[in-house]
Amino acid sequence: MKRLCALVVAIMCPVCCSIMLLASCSSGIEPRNMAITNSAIYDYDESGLFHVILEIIDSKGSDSQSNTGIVTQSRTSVITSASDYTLSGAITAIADKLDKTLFGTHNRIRFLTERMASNELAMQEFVDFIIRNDEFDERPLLFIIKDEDIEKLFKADIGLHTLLGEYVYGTSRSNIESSSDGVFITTLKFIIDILEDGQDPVAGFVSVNNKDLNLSGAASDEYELAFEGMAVFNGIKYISYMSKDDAIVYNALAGKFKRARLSIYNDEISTAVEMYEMHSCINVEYANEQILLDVEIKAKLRTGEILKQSDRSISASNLKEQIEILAESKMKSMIQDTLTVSRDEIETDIFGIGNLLRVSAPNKWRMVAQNGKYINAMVINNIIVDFSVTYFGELINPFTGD
Amino acid sequence: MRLGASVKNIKISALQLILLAVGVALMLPYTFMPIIKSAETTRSLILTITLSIVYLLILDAPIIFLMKKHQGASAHEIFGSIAGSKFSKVISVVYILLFAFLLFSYALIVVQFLKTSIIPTVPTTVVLSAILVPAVYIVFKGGGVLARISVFFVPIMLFTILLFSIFGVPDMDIKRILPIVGSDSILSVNKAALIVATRVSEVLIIFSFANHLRKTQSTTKIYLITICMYSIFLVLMVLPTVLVLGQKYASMTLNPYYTYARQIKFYDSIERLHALSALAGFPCMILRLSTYGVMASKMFSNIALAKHTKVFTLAFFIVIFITLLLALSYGFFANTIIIDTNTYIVISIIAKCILPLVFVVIYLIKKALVKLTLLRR
Repeated sequence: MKRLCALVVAIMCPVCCSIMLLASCSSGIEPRNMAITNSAIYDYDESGLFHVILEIIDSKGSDSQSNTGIVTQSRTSVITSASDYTLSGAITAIADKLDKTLFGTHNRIRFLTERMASNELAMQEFVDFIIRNDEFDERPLLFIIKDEDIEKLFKADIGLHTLLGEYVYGTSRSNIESSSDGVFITTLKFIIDILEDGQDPVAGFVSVNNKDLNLSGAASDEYELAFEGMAVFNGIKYISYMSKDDAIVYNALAGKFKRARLSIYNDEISTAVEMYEMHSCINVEYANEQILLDVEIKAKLRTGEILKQSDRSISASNLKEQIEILAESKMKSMIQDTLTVSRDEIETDIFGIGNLLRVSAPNKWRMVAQNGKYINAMVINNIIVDFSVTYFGELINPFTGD
Repeated sequence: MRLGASVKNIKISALQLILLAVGVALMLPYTFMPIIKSAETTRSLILTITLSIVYLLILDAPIIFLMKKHQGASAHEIFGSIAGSKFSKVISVVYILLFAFLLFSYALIVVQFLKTSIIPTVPTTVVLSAILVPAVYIVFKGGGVLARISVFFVPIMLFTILLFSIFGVPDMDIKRILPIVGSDSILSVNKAALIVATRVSEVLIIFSFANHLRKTQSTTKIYLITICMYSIFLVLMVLPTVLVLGQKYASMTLNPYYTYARQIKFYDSIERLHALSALAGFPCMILRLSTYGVMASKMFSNIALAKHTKVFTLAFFIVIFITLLLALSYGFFANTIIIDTNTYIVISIIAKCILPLVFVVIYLIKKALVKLTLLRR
C-alpha cells in the first residue's frame, strides 16, 4: 500500500506539472483574453521603418445587411498597425494598443510588400524575427503584394469568409485543386529554400484588381484578389513576378501539381483540356562546364468543350491524337519559356537545378558552386511531354449542330 | 523512508531498466538534438547515425565487460573488488561529479527550452523549481519509483515519436538527406559518428541499476535491446526532422524536434500537435534529471552512511539549483557546454570509457597474475 501511494504520488507530481504547464494555452492566457492574429502585412520603407498591419480576430462580429438588401457576413476582424525601426518594436507597439495579449501562432497568411521583399537586409531581419520568436511560427503561407495594394487588400471581397486570412487560406486550397496557376508556399518552405544549396525560393503573389461586377453593392467589395503567378527570389531577395503559365510549370516540375487547364487551338480544332495525375522528372548532368537539363512530364488529360474549326471530319482516334499533340506542344513551349526566362532574364534557380546536381553528382556540384553563379551554365537538353487523353466527357464527337 | 535502505532493497525488472535507459537516452535528442547541431555532423546523416551505433558499442564495451564478469554486483562492489575500497570511493566521487555535470547541463537545456518555447513569461526560479522539486522527490523515493515511473511515461513519449514520424510523411522531402554517401570524406563522417557516440552515456544507467534486477538477467542482452530501441527511435526522430526542416534550418533552431513537431498536422482536422510533444516530453525531462540524481545518491551511499544520503540529495540539488540560476542569469547557454566546447565529450568519454577501461586492464592483469601464481604452484 505504501509503495502504491508512493507510485501514485510520484506519477501525479509530473502529471500535475504538465497540466499546469499545458492547460488551455501554454502561456496561461485564456483564449478570450487573446488577440488572435489571422493575417499580417509586413512593409519596409526607404527611411528604414518597418510597418506591420495585423488582422486580429474579433469575436464580436455579426451579420449585417448591405445597402442592396443582400445579407452579407460582416468582417469579424479588427485591423491594427504600427511602425518601428525593428519588427519586434512594431509588434510591441501593436500589442501596447490592444487590451488583450497578442497571439500570433494562429496566423494563416503573411503578406510582404514588394519593396520589403526586395530589400535584402529587411528580409534577413524578417526571417530572423520569424524563426527566433516562439509566437510567430513557420506555418503561415507567404505572399508578395504590390506596395500600392496594401490599403485595397482589406477592401477586397472575401467571399463567404469573414476573415481575410481564412479567405486566402481557403482559396489557396481550391486553387491547388483546380488550376495550379498560383504558388502557395509556407514560410517554412521559403526559409528552407533560402538555406538549401542550389535552390532559390519562390512565394505566392497576390494582386488586388477592380471588380468587374459588384452585386453586393458593399463598398468593401469593390476589389477582388487574384492569386495567379508567383514571386521569384534570388536567395533572400525578391527579384520579379512570373506569370500564371510559369506558375503552372513551377508546380509541375516541383511536384506540387494537382490539376490545371490548358486552352489549345489551331485551324482545325479548339479545345480546353484539364491536366491531372502529372508526374515529372528532371535529370541533371554536368559536362563541358554546362549543366545539361532533361525534363520529362507525363500526365492524363480530360477534355472540356471541343469546337471543330473546319469541316474536315475527325474520327475519335484522330481527335484524341490531335488534342494530345496540341497539348504536348503547348506544355513543351511553356516549360521552355519558363526555364529560359528563369535562366536568362531573372537568373535564379527556382527549380533547384543546382540542388539536383548536388544530389546526383556532389563532387561536380562543389566545383560548380565554387564558381558562383551557375544558372547561366544551364542548357535545356531535352523536354519530353507525354500526355494521354483518357476522358472526353459525356460527348464522343464534337457537337456540330447538324 | 530512508533512501540508503531503499536503494539496497529495491528490485526492478528488465523492462523497467530498458525503458528507463531508452527514455533517458532519447530525451537529449527530444529536447536538443545535438546530432544535427554539431559542426562535425555532416550531410551524410544516415551514415553518421549508423556508424555512431558501432562506436557506441565499442566505447561501452569496457563497462559491458565489467558487468558481465561481475553479474549481480553493484558499481561500488565491482570497483572495490578490482581496485580496493579506498580507490572505489575515489571513483564514486568522480562519478558523483559526472552526474552533477550531466544533471546541470541537461537542466540548462530544459530551462532554456521551456523559457523560450513554452512558458517565456514564467520566472526562471519558478521554472527551475517546477523541474527540480519533482526530481528531488523522486530521488527521495529511490530507484524503484524511478523505474516504475519510466514504465508509465516512456511508452507515451515513444508513442508520440512514432505518431509524429507518421504524420510528418506528407511534408518530407527525401532530397534533404541526399546524397547518403558521397558528399563527405570518410574521416569527417567517422569523426562525426564518434562525437555522436560519446554523447550517449546511458550505459551508466544499466551499470548503476543492474544489481537491482529482479532475476539474474543478462545485462549484455538488456544493453543490446536498449541500444536497438534507442537507435530505432533516434532514427525516427532525426530523419523526419531533417526530411521536413532540412539540416541547415534544423541545426539553427534551439530544439529542432519541437520545431518539427510544430509543423505536424493531420489534414485540417488536427493541428497544434506539438502540445502533445511537450506534454509527453516534460515528465520524461524530469525522469532524466531524477535518474542522474538517483545515480549520484547511489554513488554517495557507497562512500558514506545511508542516513546522510537524504541530506546529500538535498544539498546536491540545492547546489545544482543555485549554479543553474547563476549560469542562466549570466546568459550561459546549453550550446556552449554541449556543442561549442569539447567539455561534454571529454567528461563523457572519461566516465563511460576510459575509467572502466582502466578497471578492465587492472582486472585482466590481476587475473593473469593469479593464473601465473597458480601455474607456479
